[in-house]
Amino acid sequence: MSHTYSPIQMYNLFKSVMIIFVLQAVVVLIAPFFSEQIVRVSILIVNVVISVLLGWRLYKSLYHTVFTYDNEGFTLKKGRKDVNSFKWNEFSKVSLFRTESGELSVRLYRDSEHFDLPASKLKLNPFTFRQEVTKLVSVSKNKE
Amino acid sequence: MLGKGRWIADFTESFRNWNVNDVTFDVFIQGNTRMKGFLLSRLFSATVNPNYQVGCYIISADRAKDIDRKSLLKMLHAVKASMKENEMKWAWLLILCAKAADFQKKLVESIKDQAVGIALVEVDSKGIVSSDSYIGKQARRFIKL
Repeated sequence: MSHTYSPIQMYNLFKSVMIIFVLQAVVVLIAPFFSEQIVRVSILIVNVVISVLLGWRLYKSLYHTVFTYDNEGFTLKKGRKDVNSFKWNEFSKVSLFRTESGELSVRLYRDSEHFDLPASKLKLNPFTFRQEVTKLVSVSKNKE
Repeated sequence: MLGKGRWIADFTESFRNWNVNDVTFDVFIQGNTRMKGFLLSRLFSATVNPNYQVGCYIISADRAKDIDRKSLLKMLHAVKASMKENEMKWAWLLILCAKAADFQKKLVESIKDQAVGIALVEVDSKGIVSSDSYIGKQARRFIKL
């Protein structure tokens, strides 16, 4: 049975919206017109609406993470282009890793390389998720 | 992880059932001695703390119930091998048990290795016996039961 997790990452969504909003605000600030109050408010409203729409698109294309897994393997897609698919039996060790920002990831080791599953970003309980991944890796190893 | 403790290192990665040389530790955590934090903490840590890789190996009562000199030395050698592999400077070996025999306590106290601090923790009585080294004695300070 396949499981999919793709929660909205509010921090990254807010960041995307703010990037678009600041870009528009800079354009408005350097434009030498619009001294009327009504025009200013209208521009602000238009900026906010555009920021939300384009920010959402930016978030989806850069940050939105979709994690799908079953008993055989998993796929982690970040944004529109960054897609990684692996089989559980490609990995030998599992650990729980804390990043500098304090987020927890489940780290999978393959020889000297490793691949991180961002448990905190996926809003999964890192401790139970680590247990589940460890089980999946060991079961798939035993199948070989 | 639940309970109390003191800051001894910035541990970033933990493994369950860590196997080295036929010894399986219930938990192995690794990190370094540089404190993370905001500007002042980082500055303080960069000027005061050495940047050493450190680890903590924990073995629980079930696996540690038959501790004798041979098994303790086997654990110590496994820790040393793992330290070498992970380029660690210091490590702690915590042995958790319900109740330890007197000869086991004396055994732990007789270990003088300066790179590995060993602590035998009696969970029921909350007693801690450590090896005869600086970091072994430090373990008594940071373990809070």
